[in-house]
Amino acid sequence: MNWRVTLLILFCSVGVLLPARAFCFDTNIAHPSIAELAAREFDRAIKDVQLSVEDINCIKKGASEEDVPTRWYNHFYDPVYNRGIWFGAQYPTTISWVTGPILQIKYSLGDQSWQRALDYYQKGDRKNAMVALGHAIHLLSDMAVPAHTRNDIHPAGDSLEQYVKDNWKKISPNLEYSFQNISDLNSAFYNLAKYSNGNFYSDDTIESKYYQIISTKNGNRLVSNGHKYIIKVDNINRLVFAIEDIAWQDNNSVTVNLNAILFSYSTRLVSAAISNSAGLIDLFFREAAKNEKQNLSALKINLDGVVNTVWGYLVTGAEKLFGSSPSDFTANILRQVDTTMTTLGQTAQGQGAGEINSATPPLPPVVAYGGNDSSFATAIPSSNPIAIPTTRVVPDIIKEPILLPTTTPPVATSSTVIVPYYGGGGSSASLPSSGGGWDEQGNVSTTTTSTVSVLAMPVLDEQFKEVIYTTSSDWLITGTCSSDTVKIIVDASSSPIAEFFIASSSLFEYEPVLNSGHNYFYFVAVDIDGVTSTQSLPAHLVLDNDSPPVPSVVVSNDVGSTELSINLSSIDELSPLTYFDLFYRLDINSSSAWQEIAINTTTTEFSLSGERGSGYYFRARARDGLGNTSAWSDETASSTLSYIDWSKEIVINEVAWAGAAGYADDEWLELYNNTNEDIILATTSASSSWRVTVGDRTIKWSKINNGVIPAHGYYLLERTDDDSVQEITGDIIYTLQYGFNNAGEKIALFNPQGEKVDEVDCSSSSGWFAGDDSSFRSMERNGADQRGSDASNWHSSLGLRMLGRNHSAYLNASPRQPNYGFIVLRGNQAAETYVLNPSNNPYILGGYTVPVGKKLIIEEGVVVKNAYYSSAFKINGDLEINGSGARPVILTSGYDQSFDQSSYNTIVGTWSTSTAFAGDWQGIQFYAGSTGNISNLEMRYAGHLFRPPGAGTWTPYVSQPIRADEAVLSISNSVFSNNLGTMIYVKNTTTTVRSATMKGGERGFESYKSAVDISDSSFSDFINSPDACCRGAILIADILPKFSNLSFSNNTVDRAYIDSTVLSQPEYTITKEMADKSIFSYIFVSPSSTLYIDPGAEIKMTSQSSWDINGVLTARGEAENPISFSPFYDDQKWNQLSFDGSSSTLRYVNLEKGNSRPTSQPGGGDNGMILAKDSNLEMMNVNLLNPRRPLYTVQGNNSTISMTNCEIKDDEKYYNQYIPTFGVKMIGGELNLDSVSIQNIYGGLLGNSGATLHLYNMSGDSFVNVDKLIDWPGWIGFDLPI
Amino acid sequence: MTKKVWFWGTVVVGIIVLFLLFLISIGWFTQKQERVQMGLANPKFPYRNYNQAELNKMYPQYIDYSGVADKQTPEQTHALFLAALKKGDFDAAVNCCFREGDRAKQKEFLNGVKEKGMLDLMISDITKIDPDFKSENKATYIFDGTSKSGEKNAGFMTFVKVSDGIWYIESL
Repeated sequence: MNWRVTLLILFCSVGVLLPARAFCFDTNIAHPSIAELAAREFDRAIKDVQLSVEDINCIKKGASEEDVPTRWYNHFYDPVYNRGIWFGAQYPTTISWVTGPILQIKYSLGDQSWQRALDYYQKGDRKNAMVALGHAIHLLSDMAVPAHTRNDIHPAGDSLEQYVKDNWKKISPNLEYSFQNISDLNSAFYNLAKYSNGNFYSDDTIESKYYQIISTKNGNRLVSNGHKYIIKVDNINRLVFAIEDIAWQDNNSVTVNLNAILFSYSTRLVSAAISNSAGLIDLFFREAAKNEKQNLSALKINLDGVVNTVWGYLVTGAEKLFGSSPSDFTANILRQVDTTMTTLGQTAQGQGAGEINSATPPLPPVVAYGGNDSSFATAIPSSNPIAIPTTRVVPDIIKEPILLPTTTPPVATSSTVIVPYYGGGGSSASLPSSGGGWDEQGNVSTTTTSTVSVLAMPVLDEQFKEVIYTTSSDWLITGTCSSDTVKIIVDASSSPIAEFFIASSSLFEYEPVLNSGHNYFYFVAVDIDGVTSTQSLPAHLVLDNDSPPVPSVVVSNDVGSTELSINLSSIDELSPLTYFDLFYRLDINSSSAWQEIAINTTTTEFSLSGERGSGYYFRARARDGLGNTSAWSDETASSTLSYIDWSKEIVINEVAWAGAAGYADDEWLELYNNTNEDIILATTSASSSWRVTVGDRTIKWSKINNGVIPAHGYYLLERTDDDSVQEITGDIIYTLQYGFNNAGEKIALFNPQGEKVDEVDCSSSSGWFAGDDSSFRSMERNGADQRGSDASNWHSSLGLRMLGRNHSAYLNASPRQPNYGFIVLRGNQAAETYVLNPSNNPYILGGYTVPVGKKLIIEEGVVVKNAYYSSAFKINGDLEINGSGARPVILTSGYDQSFDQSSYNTIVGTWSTSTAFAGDWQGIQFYAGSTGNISNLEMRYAGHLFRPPGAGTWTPYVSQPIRADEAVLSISNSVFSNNLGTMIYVKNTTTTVRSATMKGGERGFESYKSAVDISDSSFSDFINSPDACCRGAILIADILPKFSNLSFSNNTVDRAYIDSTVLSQPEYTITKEMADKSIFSYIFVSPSSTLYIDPGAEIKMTSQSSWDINGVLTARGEAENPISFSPFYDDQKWNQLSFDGSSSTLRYVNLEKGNSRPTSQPGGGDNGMILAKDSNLEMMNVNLLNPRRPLYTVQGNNSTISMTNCEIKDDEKYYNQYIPTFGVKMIGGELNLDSVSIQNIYGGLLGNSGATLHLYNMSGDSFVNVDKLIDWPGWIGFDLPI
Repeated sequence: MTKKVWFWGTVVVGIIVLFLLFLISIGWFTQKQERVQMGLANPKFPYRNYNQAELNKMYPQYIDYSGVADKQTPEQTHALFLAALKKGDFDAAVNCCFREGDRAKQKEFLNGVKEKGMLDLMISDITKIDPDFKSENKATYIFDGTSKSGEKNAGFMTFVKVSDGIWYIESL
């Protein structure tokens, strides 16, 4: 291959691999327009060089392209702090960017730097030179945007930029610009940036504490468009920002986002941008004319251009051959970008950036600065503000006197540590003006140039620009101030603490009073007129004479490792660094010397290699950077005694050293395999078998039933024969001389190589770590990966298990079963209080009884599975279930396999079905005197049939997951699902139910003679038997309940059935909600009770039901919310409201379809929808409609009945010649009617000789379609008085 | 040229070529990693440079919702806000009209206004708003607010448009 072929391949490869540059990002108006106007202004002012149309178009093209991502990250320059934008990382300033060819070649469009533009021009490539010049003009124009010079990133768009874009036609005629002579590039950028920074605010930096505050006059009230604005204007009446004064606002808003202000800003700033850009073009041609060689890389884009061609082409080609297609790859990237546009922007040093929308540009990675470009190197962001360009000519438009800081040494001599800190500097500024103001009519006018003087802020000496850590309180803070300063005010935080006068020098000093901890001092200069400067950056001194906290020492040893890991921590809030000393010694010799591990180190993590079976103590102390040293950590603390343990592939996991009750020789031993591999533990060959020693004796295998211990499995060794543990076949039958000594033994396990693998040393005087020879509990290991000779790693057996007996008696042990969990709950509770906790999950429930005076507590997260159908908790004492929302207590079937943890899904018990079913177990039964506090319970699959307390021979079995007789029961936040029968059945039990969810079964709740309060609960999917007496998801009898916020769905009847209740409380109220959620049967209101019915209550009555009111009934309906009584089923009728000895009131009540039991007694007996005996009954606005006929709607017996604005009406008139039918019948007593209407009835009013009738506002017209209006002794007619 | 010379010549040239390839690889890899670090190339081999369309989407200079149709204009947001305030339903008022992150703070503000007994005054003040400045994403509307001295001054209700086309109240 010759060189021509190679070149051709390279050329083609570049064409393939370089990204397309045809994309035109910036189509907005402002930048190209500014560039064009600048070019034309240049042509106007400079006659010896003229730009062609093509030149101008190229400049506009460059000005448009410069905003191409991700170039715009470099378009920020804060001249006060000499920094670019902070947007997740610090980006270079615009000056660095425009003069940084090395930096630019890494970005889109490559190198378009100032140097590149000159280089193009010098090489005769005028077209590209003009494009690159356009890029520079764009960058200079951005310096006229306050957001770009006040470190205010604006991901949602800067208002000023958007305003200029949208209002160019309005702005352009008002621009006043003129060619601005520029001496050098740095000055051009710096001065324009300083102008926009110092005279204008961006959206989020109005009166920011980080920048000079623009001096403003008191608020001016201006009228525009009918609104009175309060606009802050500067000293020459240019609009600065607007402020609210609203009475109901806590903090009145400020804004620049008003058309008038943005217009004022834009005309001044765009004019400045054009003037300076015209000067920039002139500068370009002047520098180009020098024909100086530009020190540029040969590449304009990147080394990629060459290397990628050779290497990348091959790789991409290979990807095409073997990998995914590039188009898929690109699409995938774009999808990822779509989903990650959520990063928030960030402004400098906590300035309010305002909230940014959810879609905000993602942060690019930090740019690594580098390269050999000198101009770039000088512009690397500094932590110190005010880095002045090396050469600078102040143009007419901007004058910026700079006050340089001077340095004086600190006076303190004691221990001091100084660490870098952002420093402060200041300047006095003479802010220029070139724009217009806003008059009372809101019109912008041009003003002549003027100057606003601002007093420079004090500048602290160099060493106070860093945080000073010191043990001395004797300090002198020194600095410089403007010569105009007459007084310095010292602030700590925002409160002045001192002030002193400056004589003739511009130096000042202040002796602070230091408190322990952080001390901040700010300095404000004041001149003779009382004008104050902005606050200086603080002097930050940390007075620290306190030792760091004693370090905590945490030591750990990974299973199998011979190394100890030591971790130290001690947090000294006042010191940036903490140093440690760390020592160790062996535990076997308390007098052994401490050995050094590390001295004076900032490292906090160490490791120490040692020998297996050995223990080590550690101690450490901490020291801060000032030498304050803590005490040693407690070397005797158990946490610092750490062992390098045996390898523990297999461990001794359980020891039944006491044997079993009555059979002390029935000892056994259990091993556990910690590894993921099955291990051959016993063979007929001694050399390949593992070995267990007890003291100095070795256990001898007499029979090997199984030689392999499975991975993470158990291995049972039984002594003498296989009867030590019945129901489980031992893996090995062994013999041991003398057996286990009840005073303690040392047991060790060796692998076939003779290496000790585990050891349990109980040979000391304290004996066995756990277990006993009274109840014959075994000794169980807590953690198989923890040390065997640590007494705290063992416990006595937690209880009986389902498997494992000795001579038919259950073992108090867990042979070949986990040491936790599967504990059987059966028989009577022995302990006064017994607590079930989740570490033993799941528990197995047999028949468990809590006797009187004893308490069972079930902690959150506990799971109990039942073993038999008759499994139940029988509570005679107290039951407390303390579940939580996140970790409920679950009581469920032994077949329930719905758990995430596999061990919980173990099937418990023997079942006739292959899955869990409702009725797999009985439930919880509370007996007389017991209490139950149940919170966050999930009860599943309960409801197995049982005989209730006091059941006789013929008493049927019942299905009641929770049953309570004469108990006190409180249930909250609990769920009952997949159960049978009645979820909660209570009798003579005070019961509270809150936030329960009951689903499925026959009934959710049933109570008799119980005070019941149910709220915030739901009942669904309860199906009542067709022959059930009382259908409803709830059945309440005897005592009226309290309901609130109940919901019913998908039940046979979506209501509660209130059956035969007696009201004996002084007061009771049937609320509208209760009425809406209930069906009512018989209610008896006792003489001492008052029953209120709330407005709007729609009371549905069961067939033939009556309410007997011997107390007081107050039905307090309203015109808009009347009360109603009607049958629940439309084809049935309820009976009556019967008042006896009552004094009651009915207001706005509709009674319909009552009087279900017309009597055959002479005279009508107790007939009537309203029956009043010896009562005083007042009815107002009561409608009595369509009672069952014949006989009466209302009947009074020796009662006073007063009816006002009432209606008695039948839809169809009933007539029977033998049985009278009247609206009202009175036997004795008094009937007062006022404006009562009677319609479609045979007779209106019927009274006997003892009864009195008073009519008010009534006439014959009050009786409509009535045959016999009034049948009353002495009644003559309406025409005559009675 | 003997076979031996030809063989060793080939070996030497091969070694030189391999060495050059090695240098090129190092240079290529270094350059690519630099671009990856700058977010200009895909971080996975072969570190493909993002094209301009991808860069535009990943690093827009500012969010531009001008292409997103308004689902709820500032006027509609204002109307919803006013209606909810009149009902005293602060939850509805903040949920309809403020970005999620602003809602708790704004509800607290409204509660404060109510506690001060100024809710009716506030409702009265902001019942009528007039547009002032409006761009693709931001808008400022003016209302006549009652000052502490009882005069009527211009108050600002600023709106911000979010990606789903809803203009939320940014400040009140």
